[in-house]
Amino acid sequence: MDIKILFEVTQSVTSFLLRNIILEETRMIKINGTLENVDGKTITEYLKTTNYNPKHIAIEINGKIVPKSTYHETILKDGDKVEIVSFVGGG
Amino acid sequence: MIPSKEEWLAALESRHGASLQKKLSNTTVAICGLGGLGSNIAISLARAGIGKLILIDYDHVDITNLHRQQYKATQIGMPKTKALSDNLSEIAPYISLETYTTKITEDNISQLINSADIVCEAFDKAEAKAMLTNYVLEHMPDKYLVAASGMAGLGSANAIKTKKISDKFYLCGDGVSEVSTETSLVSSRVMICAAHEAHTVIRIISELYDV
Repeated sequence: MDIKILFEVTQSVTSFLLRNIILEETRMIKINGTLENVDGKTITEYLKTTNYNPKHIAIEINGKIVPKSTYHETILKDGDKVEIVSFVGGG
Repeated sequence: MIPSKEEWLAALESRHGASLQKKLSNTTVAICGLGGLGSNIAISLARAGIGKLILIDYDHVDITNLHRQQYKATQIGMPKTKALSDNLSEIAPYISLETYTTKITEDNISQLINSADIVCEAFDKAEAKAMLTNYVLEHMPDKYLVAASGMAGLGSANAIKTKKISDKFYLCGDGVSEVSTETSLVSSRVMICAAHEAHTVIRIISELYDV
């Protein structure tokens, strides 16, 4: 009986750790070199949380340009490497 | 009396080696915007013996341009395409030039720069920079794109860098120094950024793709 309880406790602790620490850590997205927890957000949703001017930027995910017309439906996924180039004036 | 075409090529080959010079001579570069960046990029590339430049700008030379752009007092009022073509032809008489005195928009980009191997973004406005970048990366994935962001003011020359963003997309500048009511463009720092762009072009042609 005691062993069964111990087993169940161990199992739930393990699954808790898996869910909350190990998996959580891998569900990060690298944006301009910084890990951010924005898994599942669309680009449009993410941009609303930032100060970027959408008219001044170009976004690449894993080395491929994201067409502006698809920002609202492009979902940031676990492991994505995102580069947001934000242009400033002058030339 | 200008040198003959053969003498000109021989001089370039003696500096770059015949193999690199052949690559330079066979390359077409489009320069989008002929201001502080574009006019300086064009002169660097023309001197380096690039075969052909496509020069695009809708604007005319203004007195306020002369502190950083490669035009002369006598050229005020001329279209920049014409003024720069004249200057480049004096510097590098055998370069091939194609000019468009027009505003670049999403509707005309592909026809203006279609024959270019490498595209230099050299605009002034952030919105135009982003528009060209998005368009070229999305619709012309075979082309190399060299863009610039952040070169205004009196910040350190050493803050200007070239970054490789992705396989065919390079970005020069410090990324942050923008033109504002307090900060304007200073010739030396704009020239540094233009030189980064021109040098990136020459490295790409030399098949040196890292930064």
